Amino acid sequence: MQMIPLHLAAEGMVLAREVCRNDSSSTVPVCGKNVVITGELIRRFDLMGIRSLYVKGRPIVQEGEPTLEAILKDLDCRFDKVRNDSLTMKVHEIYTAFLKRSMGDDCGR
Amino acid sequence: MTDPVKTILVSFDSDFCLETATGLCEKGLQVVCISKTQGLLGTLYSDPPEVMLVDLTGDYDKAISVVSILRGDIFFSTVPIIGLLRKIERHRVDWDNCPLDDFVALPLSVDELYQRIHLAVSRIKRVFDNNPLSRLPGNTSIQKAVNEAIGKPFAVCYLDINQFKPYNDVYGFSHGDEVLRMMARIMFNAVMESGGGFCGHIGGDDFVCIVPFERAESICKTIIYNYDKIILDLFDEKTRAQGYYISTNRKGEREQIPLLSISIAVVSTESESLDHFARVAEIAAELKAQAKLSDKSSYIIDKRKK
Amino acid sequence: MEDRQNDIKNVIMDTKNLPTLPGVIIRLNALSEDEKSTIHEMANIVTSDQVLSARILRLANSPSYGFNRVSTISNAMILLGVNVVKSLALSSTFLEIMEKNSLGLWEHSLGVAAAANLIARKLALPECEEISTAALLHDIGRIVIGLKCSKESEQIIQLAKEKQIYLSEAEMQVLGTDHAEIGGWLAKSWFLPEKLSDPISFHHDVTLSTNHRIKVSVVQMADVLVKASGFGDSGDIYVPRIQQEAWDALGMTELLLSEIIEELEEKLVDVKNFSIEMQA
Repeated sequence: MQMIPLHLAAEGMVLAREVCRNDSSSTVPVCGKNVVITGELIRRFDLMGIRSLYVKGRPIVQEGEPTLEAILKDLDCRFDKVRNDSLTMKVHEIYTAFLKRSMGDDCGR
Repeated sequence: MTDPVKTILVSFDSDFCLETATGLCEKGLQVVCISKTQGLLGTLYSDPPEVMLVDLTGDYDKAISVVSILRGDIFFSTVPIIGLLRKIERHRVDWDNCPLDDFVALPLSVDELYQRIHLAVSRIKRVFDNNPLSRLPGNTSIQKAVNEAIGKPFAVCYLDINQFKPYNDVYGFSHGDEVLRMMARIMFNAVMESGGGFCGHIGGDDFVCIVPFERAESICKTIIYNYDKIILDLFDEKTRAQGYYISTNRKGEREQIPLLSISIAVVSTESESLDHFARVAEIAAELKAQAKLSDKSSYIIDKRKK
Repeated sequence: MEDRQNDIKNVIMDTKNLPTLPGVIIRLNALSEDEKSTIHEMANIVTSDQVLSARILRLANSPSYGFNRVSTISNAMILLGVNVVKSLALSSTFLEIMEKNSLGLWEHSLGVAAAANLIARKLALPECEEISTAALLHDIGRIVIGLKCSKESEQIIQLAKEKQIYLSEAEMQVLGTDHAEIGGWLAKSWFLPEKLSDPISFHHDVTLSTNHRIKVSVVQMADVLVKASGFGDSGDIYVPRIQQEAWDALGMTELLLSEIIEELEEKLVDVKNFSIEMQA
């Protein structure tokens, strides 16, 4: 999941969270999650004054954003002290899989 | 008095604070000085004093407003507040509505102040009608408040705790006392946060509050909601899940006792047939019998209104 | 070392008022001045801050009120009332210098509270609110060390970096005790119930808790997950170990854990947004 400014939204991206109109008094959902974004939808969001969206995967490479390799390396470092602890390393495995899934090749980029 | 009297001195003049506190400490009092309003109330709530001295020579209105806030909370109802005043300020005081208990003239005689502190503490112990456990006003004040409400659009709400006695027997009186203190506090907060009213403790597990009639129902709901939530903390997971605990009655039989709940009987003070305190209590007793038919917390509002 | 430990204990026990983030206090003060603000809105702010939460729980459990076992913020607020909470808010102190460390620790605590809540709900455990509160408070000892022993605190961080050890090991070497034990002392001296003080004292070793093993285990696991995700900054560089006893006490499975991690990552986005809002 990634939060992106509306102007970077493109057709084919999938909403990861429902989109809400940002009135100061209340938040009214205007579009449900799991919806595939279309050009028409982007125009409607723009008219409603919506500035950002949550989309699935990480389709946008933001400037200065670390690469998957760098993130996995950091993860490795953090687990340095428990490398021989098979139980805690399960968390490492799950995180590695999770990061690869959400940032790797099949993330809609 | 054996323990040193815990005294708080509020003055925006720190030199005066130091001097007075030193004098009183030499006489054996325990004195804490506070010379700014920031943090004052927090300090008072965290560590309540037995007597409070307030210097009114600085910012009079600010000092009086602090005193009024304290007076508004039953938690401080047993704390005498003594003002320190110069002659010139005395004409500013609205003596009929003054939240002080006493005053001492400035320039200060530490001897006199010390003696008055002792008098104030022993007087409050003597005349105190409030229930020592809940700090709520007792029967003398309740009767007066009910009589004043009769004929006006108020509601007198009688609260009592269902299954209090078996709880007290099984879990011990110190836990029983805790339940009563919680009840008092829940009722007091609900009444104050709805806009104010009178709260009293009749005795044991019987409480009363008097509020404008149109607010009575929502206050009852708040009290019941909060009470039912709080009392869960008093039982262990197993008891909570099964909804009862086991007690042995006088005949030696084991009984299932449901968890604590409350009944509230609401009597309108505008009803025509009402003319005195005793009648209000009678109607409440009839209503309560109905409310108590259920094991769950409930309230009943007198249908005879008007 | 024993003398040293007693010295530290005396210094710590003298703690009257812990400072917290300015944003939190400003927000709460604004609510306090608004007559229409509800106890619910105030509770939302209070439950986001370990220092305020500790203060409210401490007051509700103090002998002058006579309640003995108040273990959730919402119950404490019902018993104290809006006015008392407001006056506490107005008398709170905040960190004068907003250092990176304190913000990181604040985010870490909030993250662990969110993770603990998630785990507790996923496992359908009773007393979720208590578990979140305990998780929020689990590193309260670290705040006190930073405040009361600021020189030693820098030494500890330095030492942990140099020797590549856990912060609590460095604390042991410098202070003769660690933040878990210190937090436990504080919780006890504040009369907080055991279900809150046990997770604070024993989140590094769940076997030391007899009565609240499950709650302690949730907090340990939550702490590990948040450290693993790299969210916030607890001061520790390294992820601590999950004890087999904790895993077993919760009946954890790999499948459940991966579901939890997936949901946690989403939750942490919200926590981050909340944190940014509080810094504004």
